[in-house]
Amino acid sequence: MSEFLAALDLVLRVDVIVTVVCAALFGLFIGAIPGLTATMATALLVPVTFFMDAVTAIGAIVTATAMAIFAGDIPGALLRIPGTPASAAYTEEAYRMGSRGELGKALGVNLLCSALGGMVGVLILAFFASKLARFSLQFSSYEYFWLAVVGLSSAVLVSRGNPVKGGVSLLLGLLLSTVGIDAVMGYPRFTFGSVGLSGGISILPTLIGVFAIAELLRKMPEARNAPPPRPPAVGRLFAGVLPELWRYKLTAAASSVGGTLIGALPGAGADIAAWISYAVSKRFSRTPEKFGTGHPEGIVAASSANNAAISGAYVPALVFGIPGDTITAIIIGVLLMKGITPGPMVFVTDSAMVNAIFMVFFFANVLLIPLGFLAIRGARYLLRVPSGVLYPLILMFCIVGAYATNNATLDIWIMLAVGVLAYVMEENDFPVAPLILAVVLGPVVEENFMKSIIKADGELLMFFERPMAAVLGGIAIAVWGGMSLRGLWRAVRGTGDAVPGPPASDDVSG
Amino acid sequence: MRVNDAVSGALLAVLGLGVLYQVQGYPSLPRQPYGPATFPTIIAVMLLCAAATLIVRGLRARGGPWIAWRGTMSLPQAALPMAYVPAGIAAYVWLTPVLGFPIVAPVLIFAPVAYLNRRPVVAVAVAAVASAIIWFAFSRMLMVPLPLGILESVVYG
Repeated sequence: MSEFLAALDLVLRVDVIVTVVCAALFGLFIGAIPGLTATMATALLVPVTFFMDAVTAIGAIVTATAMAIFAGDIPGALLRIPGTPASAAYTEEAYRMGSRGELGKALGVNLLCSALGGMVGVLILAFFASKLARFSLQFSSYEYFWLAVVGLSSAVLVSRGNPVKGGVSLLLGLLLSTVGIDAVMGYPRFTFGSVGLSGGISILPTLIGVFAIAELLRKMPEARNAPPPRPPAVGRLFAGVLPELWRYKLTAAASSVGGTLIGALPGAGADIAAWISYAVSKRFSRTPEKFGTGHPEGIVAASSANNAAISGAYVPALVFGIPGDTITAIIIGVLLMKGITPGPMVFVTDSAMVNAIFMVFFFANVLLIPLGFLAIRGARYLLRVPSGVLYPLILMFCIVGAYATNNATLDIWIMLAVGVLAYVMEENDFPVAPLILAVVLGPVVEENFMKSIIKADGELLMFFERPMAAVLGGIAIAVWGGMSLRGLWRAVRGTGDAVPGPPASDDVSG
Repeated sequence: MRVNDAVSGALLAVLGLGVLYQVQGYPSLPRQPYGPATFPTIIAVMLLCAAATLIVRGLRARGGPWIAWRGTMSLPQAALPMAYVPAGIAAYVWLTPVLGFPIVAPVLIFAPVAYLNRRPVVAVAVAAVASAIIWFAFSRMLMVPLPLGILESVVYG
């Protein structure tokens, strides 16, 4: 109980609440603009959170992402353009409801299910995280090494398209993470005499480069000729929403739980959760033929799943320090900047903070209902902001944001270089999510690998000697085996990169 | 910009070999073969394997050009707005220490907004307001030392 009160004390502060509300508005804004993803909202927010304490910073990020994932539904229903990839699964459904005059109902279902999914996700997170943490306290460097490898490999596995290209992205990220003074002997690597580089490549400019600069390079040319869209009026919100929710209560519950579990898998994020839940609810629906014609059941399933997935992704992030998606990769980066190493020890040493994070999480999902309501009402005006105004402002914000953490112009150059790299990679179907996960996890993998191999004196079998390490190592090898088989199968069949399923998106969590 | 897999594979191979060359002189732990070079070597070797796969794939699927522009707009149309991103960043880094943020930022916002929207009056207003907000938020609230450049003598002189 005292822990609960201590956590409450960390959350119920004016500065925390004001920051969270501001972050919520920011997240709604970014999420509602088509093409700007939840991950981008997070990346742009991080420079500002650098100046806050841990709970406020995490609160701001958590709220902004939850809002952005919901807000992505708004342009989907109004204009048939999903605001973020996580909304793509049910854009058609919501838009068709809208053209039948049920726009208010579609968005109302979206909003309530998003909040519901998020809350269920937090409850599951809070319940299981501490139990898992207690269990993982026994982990040694072998287990951590394998865990990080499993995390990274799954990021490649779920990035649709060619596994070789996913692997390359991963390796490039790992390579970036080795720049700077090495942890074992303090020897400078790949610094080319630069003092700035000896501290390593900062995560922050890398994030901004990958998620904002690359996006600007892609979108800037289109901004010149794009007239701002004219969205229709929403009408009565929430009319007929509650009976609809009651009818599909089982779908909502199952999708929330399912979404959380999918989110907790390393590499799989909100958009995958939405696609899977949509497909599963169609499979088990009593009226599967109605799917795709403007049927609320699909919206209930997918919009509760994508918000639940955001919460789920925090399980591996907080418990093991292994990010489940790009957003939690950013969160881990933020925590590391604050001098907090995520992992089971955080639950012991900083349990008040962990509980405070859960509370902020819950609070953010409650806040989603009134603020989401306002966002739906304001969306017509919001969507009229021309992208030609928005993109140059985002660029300036990126520059100042990259500079702000270390007050170093080197970081601005890093942001640009990584941004151009990410742009070229995505143009050629190299997914970028593995790169970001690798940049964040690279030092963890290397440190635990070096510790283990020095302990084992080069005896590779030692990596499998402890039972848990053997299980995790087995999973890692199975993942690699699966990927190689998939590659081989494709080579034999002679097919290209075409994979059935959702359209490829590299932004796992966006 | 679409690059044939063989080209990206070749570039990655060069990167992998470069890494292997760089780590040659790195020290290792006493009485152990491991050290700062171990991890980069593993990455570089894996990178070389991936590069070889890409080169083979690229050569097998060879049909089009090595490098081609791909986009909804033609390259001449897209080039200017795209080039603005690196150009604007470079201009910011080089010019702010001399001229100061309050002069450089509004210009760097005005130019693309005016070009993309074809409405200079709106662009002036957006540039002024946005620069002021960013200046206030970062320089005053977050205490980031955004450079004043020549304005330093005006403000503190």
